[in-house]
Amino acid sequence: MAVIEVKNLRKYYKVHQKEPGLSGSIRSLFHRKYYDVKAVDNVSFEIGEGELIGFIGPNGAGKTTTLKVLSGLLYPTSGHVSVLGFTPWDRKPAFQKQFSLVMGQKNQLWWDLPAIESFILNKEIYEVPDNKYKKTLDELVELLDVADILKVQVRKLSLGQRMKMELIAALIHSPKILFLDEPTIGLDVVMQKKMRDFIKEYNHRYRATIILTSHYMDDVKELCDRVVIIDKGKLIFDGLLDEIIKKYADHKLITVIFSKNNVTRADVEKLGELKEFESPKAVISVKRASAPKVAAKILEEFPVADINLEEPQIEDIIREVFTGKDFA
Amino acid sequence: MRKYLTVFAIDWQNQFIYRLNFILWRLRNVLRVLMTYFLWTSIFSSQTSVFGYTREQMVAYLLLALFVNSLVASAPSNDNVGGEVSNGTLNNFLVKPIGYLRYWFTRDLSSKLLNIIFAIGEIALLYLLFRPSLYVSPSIMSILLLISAVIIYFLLGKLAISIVFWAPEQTWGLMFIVLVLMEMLTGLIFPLDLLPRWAFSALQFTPFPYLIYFPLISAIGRPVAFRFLLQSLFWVAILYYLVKKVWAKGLKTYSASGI
Amino acid sequence: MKIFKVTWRYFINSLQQNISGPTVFLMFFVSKFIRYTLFISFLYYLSSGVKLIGGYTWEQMLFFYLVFILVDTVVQMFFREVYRFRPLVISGGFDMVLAKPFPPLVRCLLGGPDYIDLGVLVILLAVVSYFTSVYIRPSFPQLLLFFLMLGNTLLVATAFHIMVLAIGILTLSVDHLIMVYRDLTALVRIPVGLFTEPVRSLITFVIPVGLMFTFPAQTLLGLLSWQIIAVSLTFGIAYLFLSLKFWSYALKQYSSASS
Repeated sequence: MAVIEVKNLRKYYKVHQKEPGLSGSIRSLFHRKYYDVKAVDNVSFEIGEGELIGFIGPNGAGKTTTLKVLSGLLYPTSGHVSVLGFTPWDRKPAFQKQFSLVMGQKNQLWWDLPAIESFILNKEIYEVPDNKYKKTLDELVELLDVADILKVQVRKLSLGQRMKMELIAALIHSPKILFLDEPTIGLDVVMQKKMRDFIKEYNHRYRATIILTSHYMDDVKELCDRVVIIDKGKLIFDGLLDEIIKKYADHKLITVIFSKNNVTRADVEKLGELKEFESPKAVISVKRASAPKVAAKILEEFPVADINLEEPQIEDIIREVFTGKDFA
Repeated sequence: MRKYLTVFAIDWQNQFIYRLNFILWRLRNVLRVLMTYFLWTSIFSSQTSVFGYTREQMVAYLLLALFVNSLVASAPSNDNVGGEVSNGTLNNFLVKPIGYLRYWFTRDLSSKLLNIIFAIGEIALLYLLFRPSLYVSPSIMSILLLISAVIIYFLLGKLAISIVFWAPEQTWGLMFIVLVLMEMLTGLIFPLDLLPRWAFSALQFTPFPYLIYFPLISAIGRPVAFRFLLQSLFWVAILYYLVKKVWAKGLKTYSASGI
Repeated sequence: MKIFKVTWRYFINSLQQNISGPTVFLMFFVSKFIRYTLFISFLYYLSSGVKLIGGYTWEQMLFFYLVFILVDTVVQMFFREVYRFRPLVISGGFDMVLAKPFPPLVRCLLGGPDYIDLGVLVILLAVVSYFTSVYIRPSFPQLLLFFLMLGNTLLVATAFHIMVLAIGILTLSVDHLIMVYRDLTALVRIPVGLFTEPVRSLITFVIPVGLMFTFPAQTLLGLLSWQIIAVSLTFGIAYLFLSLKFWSYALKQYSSASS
C-alpha cells in the first residue's frame, strides 16, 4: 500500500527581478517585475511503506519544494497529495506526529543547552509517553553512540555530533515517515558513512519510510534501491538505480593500455569517441551494442598490454542527464 | 580607495532591496521626533518660555536634531560588527586585502547618504506641518563639528563592540549601555543647555554632547567656543587611539582562540 | 493541558539559557537601570522648571511613567521571542516550527521569554506598590478595575505582537518592525492626555498604545469613566480577534509563496 501518493503536483511561484546597477535599484524600488518559476511541474509518484527513496537533482531542481509540500509547509498550485491518508497542508497534529523533517543545515536544538533539553521539549510537543520516550531515546543513543555527550552544551559539539543530536531530536517520536534533506552535508567522509549506516539501520529496524535528498551520489548509491530524478521541476526518472544505467548509458567505456608507444591518436580516434589519450593509455566510449566488436578489433589490430570494458560511472550518467543531453 | 568606492556603491544598491525595512527605520526616527515634539507642545501650552527656550526655538531645535541624528547615528556597522565577530564572519575579511573597520565605515557612509536624503524630505514635511522659524547658517566650524561627530559615533560604537573579542556572547551588552546613554545625553530629545549648569559642564567631559548638541547649535548660528571644536577633535584622537589598540589586541585573541 | 506543558518547557529552557550567560544578564540590567533613572531624573528636573504639565502633578507624571515601564517590561519579558522571529524565518527554522504538532503562534510568541527583565520587574513592582500606597491610596474597586485594565493591556499587547509576527511573515525584509512598536509605545511614556487632537484619538484607539499604557494608570488615579473602560475592553477583544485573523491569513500566504 502506498503511504505517499503524489498526482500531477505543480508548484509555481513568483519572484521579482532586479535589473543591475544603480538605476535598476531605484526603478525596482517603485516597480518590480515578476516572473513565474515552475519549482515543481506536473510530478507524480507513489511510495510504499518502508521504502527508502533517493531524490536527486541539481540545485533548484525542486527537490526541497517537493519535500516541503509533502510535509505540509507549502500549498501546491495544483495536484493531489496524500501522505498517510492525510492532506499535508491541513497540518493536522495527528499527521504531524507521524513524520519528521530533517534539514541538514537547519537546527532545532537549543544552542546553549545540552541536547537532552531539546529532546525533552520535543517529547512534550509530540506527546510521547514517558516509558516510550525512555525506550526510544536509549535505542537511538546506543545506535548513534552518543551517551557521553548527551549533557554537553550543543555549541560545544562538533558538526558531526550535532547532526547526530539533530537526528535524535527528529526521531524521538518514532515517525513513520522521515524526510531527510541533505542529511550528510558538510560532514567528513567518516561521519557521512556513519550517518548512512544509521539511516539504513533505522529503515530496516523500524520499517520507516524515508525520502532522502542528497548531493552526494554515494548516499544514494549506498542507501536507495529506488531513485527519483527531478530536473527543472520535472520528474525525469523514477525507478531502480540499476535501470538508470540501462536506460541512459547507451555507451560503454573501453580502456586500453598498449604495449608499444607507436599507436597514435589518429589510429584510436577511428574506433569511437575518444575520452582520454595519453600514450600508452586510451579511453574510448563506444555504443553498447558494438562494444564487443570494437574490443575484438582492438585486440586484433594493436599491440595490447591490457584491455578493460566497463559501464560508465553513475555520477557521470546523471551529470550527463542534467547537462541537457536529450533523452526524450 | 577604489575598492571602498565599490563597497559604497554595492551597499547603496543593497539598501534598496530592503526598502520596507528602510522606510520603517525612517518612520522610527520621525516617531521619536514627534514624541518629543508633543511633549514640548504640551509643556509650552501653559507657558511661553522653558529654561530660556521659546516654543519656536524648541521646535526648530528638534527638527534639526532629526537631521543631525540621521547623519551621525545611522550606522549599520553597530548592528552587524558584533555579530560578525562572534559568529566568525570576520575571518572572511581578515584574509582579504581590505580593512574591516574601513569597510564598515564606508558602508555607514552609504547609509548616511540615503538617510540624509530621506531626512531632508521628512523635515520638509514636518516643516509644512508645524511651520517653525527655521534659521540655519552652517559655518566651517559647524561642518567640522559634524564630521568630528560622525567619526566619534563610529569609533565609540566599535570600542563598545570590541568586548565581543573576549566574550563572544556579549554582542549587545556594552553597546546597549552606550546607546542608552546616547538616547538622553547627546541632545537628541532636548537641548542640553536646559540642564543645570553643573550637569552641562560635566557632560562636556564625555563624548556625548559632541555627537548632536554642539554640531546642531553651531549650525543654527549660535556661537560655539573654539574650545569645543578642539575638545571634539580631542575625543576623535583618543577614541581612534583606543579603538586601534583594543582592536589590535582583540584580533590577536581572536585568531588565537579561532572562533 | 499540552499547550501549558510545552510552553512551560520553553520557559524552563529559556531560563537555563539565560543563566548560562550571567554577565550579559548583568549588563542589560545595568543599562535598563540607567535608562529609567535618567528619564525619571529628567522628568523631575522638568517639573522644577515648568508649571504643571497638562494639569498633572509631578507625582502623577511619575506614576504614569512607572506604569509604562511596568507594562513594557512584562510584555517584553514574555514576548521576547518575537524579537528573534526574523532570523527564524530567514534561516528556515520557521519551517521546522510549522512541521510540528504545536501551535506555531504560541511557539513564536512565548517560545523564549527573557528573564533579564524579571529582575527589573521585581524592583518595579516594589516601587509601584510603595508609590501607590503612599501617594494614591486607591479604593478596592479602583484596584480591581486597574487589574482589569492591565489585563486588557496585555490582550492588546498580544494582538500587537501577533500583527508584528504576521507582517514579519509577509515581508521578510523587515527587521525592526518590533522596534516600531517600541517607538510607538515610547510615545506614551507621557500620558495620552498631553497630546493634542487628532493625535490623541489616533494613539488612544487606532494605534492603541494610549489604551494600553495610559488607561490602567488613569483607572487607578480614578480619572477614567466606566464608559471608557467598557469601550476599551471591547477594543481589546476586537484587536485580538483581528490579529488572529491576520495571522492565519499570513500563514496561508507563507505556505503558498516562495520555495
